[in-house]
Amino acid sequence: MHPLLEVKGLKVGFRFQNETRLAVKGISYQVFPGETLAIVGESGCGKSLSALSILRLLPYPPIEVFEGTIKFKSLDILKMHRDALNQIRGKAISMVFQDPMTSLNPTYTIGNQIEESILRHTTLLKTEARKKAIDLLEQVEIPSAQEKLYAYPHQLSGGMRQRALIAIALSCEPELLIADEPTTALDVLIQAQILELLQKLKDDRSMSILFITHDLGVVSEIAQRVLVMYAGEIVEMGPVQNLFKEPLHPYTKGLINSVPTLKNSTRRKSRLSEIPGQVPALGDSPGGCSFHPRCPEAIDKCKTDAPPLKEYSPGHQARCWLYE
Amino acid sequence: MATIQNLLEVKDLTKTFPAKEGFGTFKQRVYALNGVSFVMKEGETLGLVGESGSGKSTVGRLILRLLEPDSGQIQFAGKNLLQVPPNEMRSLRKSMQIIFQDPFASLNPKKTIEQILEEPFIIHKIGDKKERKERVATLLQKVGLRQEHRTQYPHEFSGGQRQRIGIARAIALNPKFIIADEPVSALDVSVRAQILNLLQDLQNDLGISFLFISHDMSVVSHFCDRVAVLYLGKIIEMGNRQAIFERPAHPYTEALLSAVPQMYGETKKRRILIKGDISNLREAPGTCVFKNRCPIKEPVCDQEMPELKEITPGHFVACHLRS
Repeated sequence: MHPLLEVKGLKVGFRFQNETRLAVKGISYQVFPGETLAIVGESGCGKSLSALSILRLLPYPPIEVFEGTIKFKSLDILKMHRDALNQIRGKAISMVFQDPMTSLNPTYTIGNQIEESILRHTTLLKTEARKKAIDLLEQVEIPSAQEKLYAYPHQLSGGMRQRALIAIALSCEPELLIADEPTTALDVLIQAQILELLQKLKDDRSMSILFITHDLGVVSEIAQRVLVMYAGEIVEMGPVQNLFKEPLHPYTKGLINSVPTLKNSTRRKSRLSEIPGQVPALGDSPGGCSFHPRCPEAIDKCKTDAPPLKEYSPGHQARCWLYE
Repeated sequence: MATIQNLLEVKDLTKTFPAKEGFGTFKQRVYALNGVSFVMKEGETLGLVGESGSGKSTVGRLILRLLEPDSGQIQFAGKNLLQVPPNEMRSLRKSMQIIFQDPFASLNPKKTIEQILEEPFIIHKIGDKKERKERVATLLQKVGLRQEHRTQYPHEFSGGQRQRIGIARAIALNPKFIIADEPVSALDVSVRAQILNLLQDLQNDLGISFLFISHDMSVVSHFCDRVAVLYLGKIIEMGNRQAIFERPAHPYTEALLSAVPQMYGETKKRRILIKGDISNLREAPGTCVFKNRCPIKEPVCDQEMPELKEITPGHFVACHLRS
């Protein structure tokens, strides 16, 4: 199968006092039609920047792509003319952001904002676009959709705003939906509703989703494949069941073990296993493997040589010397 | 009064806020809390869970008298908090502290760590300059920060370190009771475990009681002895950890637990999907607060307000159908 999206050797960063500081240090991955790929990592690992560069939405200046290619089907996104890119943005590829309040325009109604992208990308007339907008609001299960067309963002709750945002993203039937922490700001009941909704919409339309999150529980619920990032690099990538059942990289293991789960409720309060230390600051990454100062299993080689990303079982890759 | 004294007793706490109707008219009021009652024993950790808008932070703020309740009673260490004179309240505040959610907003950016940590001692006139410095040194060590951090400013620290500073400030005066308002929600996964472990160590060493306010059921199940579930300003279920997490009785608690995303390979609970959002109460509720979203609603739910009833020892539920 041909990948829908192919990212190769992507380096994103900024110049600081004549020096290049990379936040994303050459990552490569593919998204196939109809699958959900999750990118997991802590704040500052580069997961959002790598997603923003797909639609060329990086806050430039100062942040820019230094190297790499991003191919959507056969189109080279990074080399494309702005006009051509605008044909893709919001149509073939659309995006849902984390914060539904700041990503909707407070001075336009929800209806206006959905219709805007329909009118921009299709030949539908205004009345048809309006019908379609109602239809979309119903699909994302907003009650009394007809009325909500005339509501302003501040009149809706957080969950409803996030649904409206998803309705906008889906308005032109995208082939790829990039969702950057779409449920992080929401309560757990609303999160469950939104995840269910995304799953259903994905199945109905055989759309691909690139789902960015820091929540391993959410990953297990929604993704088929997972990519774990640490300090701007992919440290592990694989099918969801392999990654959770047999995690290879010590960072992945640490993440999985440090999450408190409901299962522990019967046990007397036990200590959580923690990953000591903290994520290295940008431009301050240690030599060798970037995780070695925090790694419980580090060997001498880790301090001097950076390990390559290698495949250890079909589709399951890790960047670690322990498995050499 | 019973033989074992309760550290904190909250009775029938009610708080309303003025509701905006547009262009500055404040005729209506929002009922943030409607008759919340609970007790806490010394050394106990009570988790207060609920969605945003359930009133859980309001409870914490009322106990510290950062807000004044409309009605109700708060007894802390045998004293009626709502009636103590201001100077006595000030000295009582030594034994009750708070840790805030946002470690970025809760530290003064213009002060060094030493100044921030010294302040409680200055305000309460404890020790001379030399002694205060020593106490700051012990505090830093207790929360796992280094001595050279004392001359640095908050912006030089990461989120996890800032939360450690907030914790150091909270334990500075050896409080008996700390309100932790979403202390780990703003932190990354790997740092969250560090902070939870730190809080647990402090509790074991210092015997502090925690009122742990959180929306994260997994964190609460890990950290708390007892749990109270809040919905629209009412406690709808309360009990010890096992009871709440293994035998939840209220349909809302069930739904909340089933909605927690589980990591791959864990036994999955059947998901109970609840439609709609938490709303606002514009009048004191006369019926069940959860009835509009409840999957098992019966006619009786529209007629009467369910009382919080004990179904097994220590396990309370407010539901017509489950108690």
